[in-house]
Amino acid sequence: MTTPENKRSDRSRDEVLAGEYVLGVLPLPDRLRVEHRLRQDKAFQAIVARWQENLATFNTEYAAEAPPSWLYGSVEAKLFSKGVADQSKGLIWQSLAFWRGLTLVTLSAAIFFAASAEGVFRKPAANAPVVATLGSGTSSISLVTLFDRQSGQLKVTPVAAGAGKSNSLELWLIEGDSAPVPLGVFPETGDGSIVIPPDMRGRLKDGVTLAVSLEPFGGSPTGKPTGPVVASGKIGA
Amino acid sequence: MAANDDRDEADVARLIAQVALGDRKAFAALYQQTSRKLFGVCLRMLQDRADAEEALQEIYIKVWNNAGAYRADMARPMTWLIAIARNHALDMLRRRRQAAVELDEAGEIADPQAGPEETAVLSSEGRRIDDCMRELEEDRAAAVRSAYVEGMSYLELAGMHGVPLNTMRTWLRRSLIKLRECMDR
Repeated sequence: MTTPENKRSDRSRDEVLAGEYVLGVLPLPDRLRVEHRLRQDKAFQAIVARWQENLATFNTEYAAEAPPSWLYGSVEAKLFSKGVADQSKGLIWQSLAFWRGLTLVTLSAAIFFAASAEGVFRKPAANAPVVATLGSGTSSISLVTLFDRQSGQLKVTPVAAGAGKSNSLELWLIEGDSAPVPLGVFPETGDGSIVIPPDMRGRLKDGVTLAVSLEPFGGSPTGKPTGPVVASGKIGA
Repeated sequence: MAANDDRDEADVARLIAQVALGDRKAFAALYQQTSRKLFGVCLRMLQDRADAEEALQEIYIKVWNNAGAYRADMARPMTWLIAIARNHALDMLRRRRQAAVELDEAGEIADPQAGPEETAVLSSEGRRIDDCMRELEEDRAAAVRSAYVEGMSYLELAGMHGVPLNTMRTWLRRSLIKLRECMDR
């Protein structure tokens, strides 16, 4: 029999249980029971959602920290890799033809032009950085751009994009006839830049060649380029 | 920073909606905008970088799969994302030690002494939780906070505060009731 009195005490029990769940103190079997109930009990969902909002004030205690740059590609590989490997075959070569004709220098000019065209970026959200992925539609390499409206700064990151994300693009330094030295892997997120290791910085000067190669996800496993060079150019050329 | 929060939230909400439609570019943008915070959650709760990296991948897989379940009228978008991250980290934490300690801990269902007033489910809060936290005794407020932020279990909290497990359970349950009453006032 349900009386208003019972209802009230059920309600307060639910409040406490929902609060314990959101705090996270419940042992695993109890957590699972709560989650099972959440899937079917709308009123209880609302109680939990309310605690989540209330306690969200504590979220300021979590200090933001950048995850490693390979991580996003790994997420995409897990989500999207099925069936796309076949599809991207052949497309790489089309895009290689496109990339080969470009040096890094003309590349950046081309991108700037493309980015200024209307409709490339999504709806402006005032100060929020705007992200766009530029691709040819058939290419399996695209350029992730991140535009900060306030500073006017546009960061461009080439990524081995398209469907699979099972590859990464890696930047190399080539001095004369020496073997290529790895400078870094382009992050998959468009988070713009490669930080050149301090001991390498002095070596980026006129006359040396920068090259980008297509590598297995996360970069070359050997420390030497293993995939095709998709772009290259001399500094100062 | 704070002035941008609303805009950022609107942006994140829009991206979640696009992700729900299977938009991979929106997913990349959502990751770009939110992964630092969620990684911070993982690191703080799991206290282990490799675990945090593994967790973050699983969390974004959940985000991709569950974006359609996001309800803007129930939660702000960052709150929702952080809840997914915390829940995943909590599951990992509880699994880590389940066999060892939690047999003791599997508690009876909450049965609070006091009966708080019936409340409208989605009533707007009269005051912020910060004010209400100040009404709790200091050690209980600290226990509530570290339960939430660090994902500590009843047993760990009891150890940290040097009180029996049941006492800790009572502390936190009463604290929750007080917080709810305070916010309903």
